[in-house]
Amino acid sequence: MSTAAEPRTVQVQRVRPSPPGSVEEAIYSTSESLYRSDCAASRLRWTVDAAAWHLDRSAAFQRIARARSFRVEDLAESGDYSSVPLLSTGTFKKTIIPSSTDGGVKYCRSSGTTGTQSVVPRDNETLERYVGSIVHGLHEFVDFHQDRKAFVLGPPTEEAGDLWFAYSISLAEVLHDTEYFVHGDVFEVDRLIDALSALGRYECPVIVGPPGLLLDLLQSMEDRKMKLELGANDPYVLTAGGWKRAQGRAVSRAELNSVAEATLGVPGERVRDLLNMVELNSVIFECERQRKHVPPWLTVTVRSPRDLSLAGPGETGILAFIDPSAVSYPAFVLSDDLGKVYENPCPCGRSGRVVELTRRLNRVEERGCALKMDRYSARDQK
Amino acid sequence: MTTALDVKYSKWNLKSGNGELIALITSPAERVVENTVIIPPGYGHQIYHYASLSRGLNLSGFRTVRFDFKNHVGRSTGEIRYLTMDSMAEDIEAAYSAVAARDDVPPLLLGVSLAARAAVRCAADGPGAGTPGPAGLVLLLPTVDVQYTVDQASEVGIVSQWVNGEATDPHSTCKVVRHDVELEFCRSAMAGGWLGTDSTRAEIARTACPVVAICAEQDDWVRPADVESAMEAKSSWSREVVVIEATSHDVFYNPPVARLMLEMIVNRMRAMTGAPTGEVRHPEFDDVVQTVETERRWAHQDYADVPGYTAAD
Repeated sequence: MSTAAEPRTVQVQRVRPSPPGSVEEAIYSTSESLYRSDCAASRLRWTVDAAAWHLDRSAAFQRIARARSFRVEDLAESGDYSSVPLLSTGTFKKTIIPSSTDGGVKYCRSSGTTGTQSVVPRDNETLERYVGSIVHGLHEFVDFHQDRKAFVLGPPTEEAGDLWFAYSISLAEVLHDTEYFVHGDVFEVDRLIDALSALGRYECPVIVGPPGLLLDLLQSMEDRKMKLELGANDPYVLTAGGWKRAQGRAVSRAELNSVAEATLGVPGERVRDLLNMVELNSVIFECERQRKHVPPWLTVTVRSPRDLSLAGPGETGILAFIDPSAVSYPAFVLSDDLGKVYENPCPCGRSGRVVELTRRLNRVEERGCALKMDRYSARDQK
Repeated sequence: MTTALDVKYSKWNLKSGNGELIALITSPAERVVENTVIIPPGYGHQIYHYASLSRGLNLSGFRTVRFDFKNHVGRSTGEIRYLTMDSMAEDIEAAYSAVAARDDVPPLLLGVSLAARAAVRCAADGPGAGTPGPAGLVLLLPTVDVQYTVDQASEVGIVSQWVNGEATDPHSTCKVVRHDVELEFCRSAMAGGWLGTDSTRAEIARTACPVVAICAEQDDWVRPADVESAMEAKSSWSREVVVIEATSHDVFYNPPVARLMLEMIVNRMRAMTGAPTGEVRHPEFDDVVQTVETERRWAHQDYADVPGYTAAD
């Protein structure tokens, strides 16, 4: 036990929680906006580090890298992202691709609305960084503070299980006081309306859920000729996950904004859509101009559906994501989505890249290249 | 992965002389109980905001006692509008005395942010006769200059306005981080000698136990240089300042910082209590999620599902 002794002076030491300039430091940084600075050099370094990490730990990633004659040294020198190996979402549907790490993993599953589920193994560090990407985005785009109250149009964590989208939005309770409005697969819209109606003057709501359930809420309120004035409560509405099974009754974004404003009193600019998929370990947030800003550590490229070559800025192609935040699997993903990437500064004042989703890949010829990618990983299974 | 749901928490309502209640939660250590760590919350925080920190301390052998301040957010009596530094200090003293009377070994104090300043005064003044002082004091992101910190947090420099005579009505209110607080806070802080680093330095100098201050390099509310200054008076007891680089006052959801802080806190507290330093167990992601979710839900239900304190705990 410490005891009194001769008078001493104070000892001072300095410590650093993460390696300087590391991707971890960027993800958890909230003191200044990385969306307003040029992170290209850092992003290349993070990508090189992530590629080296997964080449050491993932047989599937090694196989694809070998087939493409990929070397991290070449990437570091050239900065040519077209050379980086990618795993198609089809690959994640066929097999689990771990990058061996210590400790347990959570197997996160996609909703599988189009058939087979993707399964992605996430360890503690990867899950922490996923939530870190959410907190980072909330700080940047949604005026994050702990006193907000979350209204989740989804089930609580214990009901969400391994279903990635449901689990993701259930994590709101880590950040905010949270109420859930889906139990036993039933959307409790009446209870939600009551809860929103009972908000106090100083309670700041954030409503989180898929657009289909948000539309259910808004239409239920319209049917009852109900109107709330949440505008003074510093509200936000965050949608995520896309329309999926509700595609048949999907409305345009402008209409969704308009109905949210008319019904909830939430200004249309505060309705924000978030982009994530089970294979991606970061969340892409919309700004006040409702453009999806790519987090500083994430690389999004557009690939030609013909030969997967890099498309130019503003050209439509298959979206590919390289996410160095994932440590327990290689988040080097060729998605099932068509879209564009813009490099010009956004009218909101942030620099960096903005991504726009056009639609899902659905024709056989469009999927051809992605299917070719799958052949490499299929060999891994033999 | 471990689960937090079977942890045997207990609640404990302290009554002050005039019948006001202080809500406390005791979280037992998962392994050998070394000492109890009392964690008064930072401004605007309540018991559950320290759920994962408490869980980490429990996993490393410390029992924790957390409470909500009176005249603050949370489940204790009174609204935050009526907060004063004196009332924070009274609550820490009440919690400390109750725990010290129960435990065989002196408790440790872990003061966070504004509560750290109140904890310094309690440790410096010591409890009443017959009650041992704390085994050690750890200050996390500590306010050492109440005027500077609350000026920054109020964005209008409200304490300076009071000191300069620009604000004079103690019953008017000012927004301090999203909460309306009466300027009685400023009046009583000035009258009670809470302002500036000199008073903090003097109180730390006479605190009869080891003191460790952990501050953040990019903290907008607490200048690390002020913390070093407040800790610099020579003492027979150890004094240590740790500056965490590339970190701000907002350490909410920053796992690398949380792990580093937990390791520093646990090992400093082990040293303070004569226990061997070494490995620190960190709660896993699922454990943190379950613990935080469970505690938030308990709080919403006024801890109705949490059993009352018993002497056997």
